[in-house]
Amino acid sequence: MLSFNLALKLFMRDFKSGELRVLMFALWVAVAGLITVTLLVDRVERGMTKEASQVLGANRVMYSPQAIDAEIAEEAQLQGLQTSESLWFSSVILANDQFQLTTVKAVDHKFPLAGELKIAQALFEAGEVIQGKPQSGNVWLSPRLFNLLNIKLGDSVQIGAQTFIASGVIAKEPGGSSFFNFAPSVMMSVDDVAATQVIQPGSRLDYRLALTGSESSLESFDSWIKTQLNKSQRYLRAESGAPQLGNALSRAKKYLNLSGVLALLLGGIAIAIAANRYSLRHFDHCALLRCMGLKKDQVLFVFVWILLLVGTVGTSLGALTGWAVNEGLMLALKELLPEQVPPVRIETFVLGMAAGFIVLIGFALPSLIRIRSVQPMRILRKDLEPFSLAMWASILMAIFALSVVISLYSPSITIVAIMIVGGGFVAAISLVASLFLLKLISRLSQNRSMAFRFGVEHLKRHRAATLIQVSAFGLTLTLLLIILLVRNELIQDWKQQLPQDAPNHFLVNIQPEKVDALNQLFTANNLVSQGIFPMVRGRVVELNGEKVTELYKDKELHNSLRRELNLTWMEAFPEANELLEGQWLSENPQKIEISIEEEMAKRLELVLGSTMTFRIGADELTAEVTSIRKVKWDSFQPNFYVIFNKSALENMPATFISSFYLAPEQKMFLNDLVKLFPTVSVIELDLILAEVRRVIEKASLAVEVVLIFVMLSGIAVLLATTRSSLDDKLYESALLKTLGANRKFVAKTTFSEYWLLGLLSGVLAAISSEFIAFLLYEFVFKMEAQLHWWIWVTAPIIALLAVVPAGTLGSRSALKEPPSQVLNNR
Amino acid sequence: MLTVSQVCKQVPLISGPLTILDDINFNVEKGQSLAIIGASGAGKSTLLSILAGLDLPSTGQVIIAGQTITELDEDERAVFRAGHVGFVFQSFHLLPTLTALENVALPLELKYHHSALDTAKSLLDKVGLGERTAHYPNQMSGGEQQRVAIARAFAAQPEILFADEPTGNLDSKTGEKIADLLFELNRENHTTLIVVTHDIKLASRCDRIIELAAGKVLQEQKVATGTA
Repeated sequence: MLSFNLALKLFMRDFKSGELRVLMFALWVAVAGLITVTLLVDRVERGMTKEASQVLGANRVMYSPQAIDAEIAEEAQLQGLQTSESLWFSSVILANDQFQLTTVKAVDHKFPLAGELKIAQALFEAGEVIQGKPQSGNVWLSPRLFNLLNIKLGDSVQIGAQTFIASGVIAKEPGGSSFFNFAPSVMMSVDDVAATQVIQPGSRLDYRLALTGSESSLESFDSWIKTQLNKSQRYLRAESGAPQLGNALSRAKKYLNLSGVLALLLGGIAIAIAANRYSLRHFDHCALLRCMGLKKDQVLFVFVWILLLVGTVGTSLGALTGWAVNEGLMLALKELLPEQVPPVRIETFVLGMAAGFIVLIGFALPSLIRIRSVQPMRILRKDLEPFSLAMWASILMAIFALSVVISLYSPSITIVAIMIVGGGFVAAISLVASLFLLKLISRLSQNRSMAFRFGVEHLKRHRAATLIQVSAFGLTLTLLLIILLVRNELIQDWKQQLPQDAPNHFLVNIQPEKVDALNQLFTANNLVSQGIFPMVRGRVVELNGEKVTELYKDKELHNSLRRELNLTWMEAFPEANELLEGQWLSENPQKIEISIEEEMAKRLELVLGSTMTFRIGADELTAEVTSIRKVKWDSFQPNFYVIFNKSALENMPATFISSFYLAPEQKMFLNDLVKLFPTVSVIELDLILAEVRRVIEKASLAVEVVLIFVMLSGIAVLLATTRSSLDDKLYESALLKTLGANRKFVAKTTFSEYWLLGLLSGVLAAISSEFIAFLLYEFVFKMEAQLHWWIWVTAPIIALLAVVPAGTLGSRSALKEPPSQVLNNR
Repeated sequence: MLTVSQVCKQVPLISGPLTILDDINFNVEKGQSLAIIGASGAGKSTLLSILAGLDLPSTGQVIIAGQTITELDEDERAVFRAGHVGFVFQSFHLLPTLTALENVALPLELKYHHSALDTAKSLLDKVGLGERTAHYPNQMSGGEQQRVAIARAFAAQPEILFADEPTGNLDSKTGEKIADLLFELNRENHTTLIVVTHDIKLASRCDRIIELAAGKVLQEQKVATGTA
C-alpha cells in the first residue's frame, strides 16, 4: 500500500511536470490505433458475414445430391439451430408451347432463414417480403420467365406432369445470381415435387439444408457435421461465398491488422526510449528513497506501480479514443455496412488494452528494472551506475512482447517471422552502416566549419546514443514507408482490378450461328464486348497417359477433375492472364496444344510437356501442355483453366460466352437482347460489382485513418528520441556557452547533429523498407515485389524534414537555459 | 550511541588493493555531535557512507543504538535506516516533483505515520517555511531547499543524523543560518549528529572533531563548548 500511495503521488507529479507525457502519449496513440483497427475489422467482418448470410439465405448450407438424413436436421435443432430444407433441380417449364430451362427451387415454410424473399403481384414491382413457400399448386417465377414464356400472372405453366398457377413474381431472392446459376428461378412448395414426377433415378438433384443460429451453436455444429459428410456432400459457411469481395476484404484486413500492430511497435520503441530516460532521471530519487529506508523491492514496486498507472491511464485513453474514432468511421462507412452495424465487442477493448500493457511492460521494464539495483551510496557518489540489463536481454524481452501481441492479432507466423527478420535486419544494418557512415562523415568533415565538426564529434563521442537514435528514427521511418507503400499498391491493385468499365454483364449459352448477329447488336448499341469466347464442355480423363480414376483412387480429386470443364480455344494471349512458363500456343494445325492455369498445374503435378486427355462428347483428345498461365480469377472477365490452340477445338460443338460493360442507364438493352436471343442467358453482375467497388473505396478510407495513427506513433518516437538526448545536450551547451560559445554556434552544432542523424536514418530506412516490403509482398500479400526508386529519394528527405525541426525545436531549451542553472542542477 | 571499531575499507585495483580507510576507531555518545574533517580524498565521504549503513567496510564493525549494522544485509540496513537514521546532503536531494510539504512528510509516510502532513507542516513552520509548503524545490532558493531538507531529516525523529557538507552549496551567510538551524533542532531533539565538512567554522560548533588524512584518523580534538 505504501508503494502504491507513493507511486500515485509520484505519478501525479511526474504527469503534471511532463516527465511521463511522452510515455503516456506513445501508449495512448498506439492503443488507440490498434483498437480503432481491430474494432473496424471486427465490426466490418461481422457485418459482412451477416450480409453474406443474407446473400446465401442462411449462415450455413449443406448441399447433397441425395436426400439429407433427417437426423442431421434433428441434431441441428437439438443444438438450437433453425433449419430449412429445400430441393433444387433443373427442369424445363412449359407454357403457350414455349419451353425454358429453369432452376426449380422447392422450398419449405421456413424459407428463407436469412435475407429477403420478395414476391410481387406485377412485373417490375418491388414486392412484399415473404417467408414461406407458395401454396400447393402455385409457383412463383423470375420476371424473365414471363417474357420468355409470354405469360402473365395467373396463367398456367407446366413442370413435368403437373400444372401450376403462376401466382407471383420473384422480385428479390436470397442466393441471387451466381455464375453457375444462370437459369431463371421457379419456386414451388417442396410438397408438390412428387406430383411433377420429374425426379427420376439418375436425376441431378441438389438437396439443401439451410441453418441459422448463434455463433457458438453454429461452431459446435460445424465440428459435428464435418464427421458426418460423405464425399459427395458439401457444407458452406456464408462468409466463404463472394470470393471477389472476400479477396479485397481479406487483404484489407491483413493490411489493417499489420498497421495496427506496427502502430503498437512504434509505440513500443517510443515507450522504450521514454522509459529509459524516465528511469535515468529517477536514479537519484531511488537512491534517496533507499537512504530513507525503502528496500530494493519496495523501490522497484513504486516504479512498477507507476508503470501500471501509466498503463491504465494510457490504455484507457487509447480505448476511448479508439472507440470514438471507430464510431466516426462507422458513420463514414454506413453505406458499406448492413442496416444494423454490429455492436462493439468488449473483448476487442480488453484485447487492445492487454496488448498495450504487454508492449508497455516488454519495452519499459528492462529500463525500470535497473531501478532495483540503484545503491543508496549513489546519493554521495553519482558515478555509481546501477546494474544494466544486457542489450540482448532487453531486445529479447521486447521481441517476446511483440511476438505475443502480433500472435494475438494475426495468427500468421509469416508476419511474425517477417517482422522479426526484418527488424533484426534493420538493427544489424543500422549498427554496421551507422558506424561506417559516421566514420566517413567524420573524415569528410575535416575542412568544414567548427560547428559542423563539433556536431559530428558529438555524435561520435556518444556512439551508443547515436546508434539508438539512428535505429529508432530509421525503424520508424521504415515502418511508415512500408505502410505507405503497401497502402498505395493495395489501393492501386484494387482499382486496376476493377476499372470503372469492368465488364458487369455476362452472356452465356450463345449459339455459334448467333455470334455475328450478337456482334452487330453490340455495335449498333455502341457496346464493347470483352470478346466472344467459345466454350466446349469436356472432362479430364487421363493425365500423362494414366487414367484419372486410377491416379486418384485414394486421393481427393481436384475441383477440375470432379466436373466437366469449360474448355476454350484462343489465338491471342488473354489479357488478364500472365504467362509464367513456356510459349503461347502455336498455330500449327498438326499439334494439339494447351495452356493451363498455374494452380491447376501444381495440383495435378503437370509441367511443360505433360499431356492431358479430355473426353468431349464421344471423342477423346490428348493435348500437350506448352504453357502455364497465372489467371486473375477476381478480374470479372471470362477465365479458363484450359485453353486449346484454335485448330484443335474449332470443330467441336461449342456455345459461346461473352462479357461487356453496360452503364446503368443502358439497362433496357437487356430486354431487347433477351427478346432477340431468347436462348442466351444473361448474368447481371453490376450490383455485385458496385458493391465490391464501394467496399474498396471505404476500405481505402479506413486505411488512411489508420495511417494517421501510425504517423502519430512515429511522432511519439521522434519526441521520445529527441528528449532522450536532451539532458546531455543541455549540459554540453551550458559548458560551451561558459567557454564563450555564442547561441549561434550552439544552434549550428545542434543543427549539424540532427541533420546527420536525419540523413543516416533516411538512408537506413530506404534500405530496410525495400527489404521488408519485398518480404511482405512475396509472403503475405502475394503481390509482385518491385524496386521503388522514389523511396531512395524521399526517405532521406522525409527523415531530414522530420528529424531536423523536431530535434532543433526539442533542443531549444539548450539555447535558452542559463548555463549556471544547468551546471548547478547537474 | 555509535561505536566504530577497526573499520577498514579497501578497493581492488589492477595495481593491487587501494586502502581508503585504515583502522578507524571511535565512539559517539547519544546527543553528542561529531565533525569529520579532512582534505579531499581523505576518506570522509566513504566513512560517512559506512557509518550510515549505505556501504559496508572491508573489515571492522559499526554499532548504532546497540545494533551491529555491518552484520546486516542491504534490505535489513534499509529497515534500520528507516527507524534510526536521518540525512542532510550537500545538494539537498529533494524530490523535484513533490512540494516542500510532501518532501518533509515523505519519511513519515514511509513509516506509516498517521499524521504525516500535520507533523511536516509544523516542522516547516519551525524552519521558517510555513508559507512555502505548496512550493516545489525549483521555486525555492538553495538556502530554502536546505531548510526543507533539514526539516525532512528531523521529521522521522531519527536517533542519529548524518550531514554531508550541509552548507557546502550555500553562501557563507546562508550557510551560517542553516548551521544554526541544524544545531538548534539537534539540541531540541537530542539527536546524535555526525557532520562531514571542509568548513572548520562549522566543525568547531560540534562537541568533537576527527580529522582524517589518507584514510587514517590524524587527530581527534574536543571542542570546549559547542556554540548554538
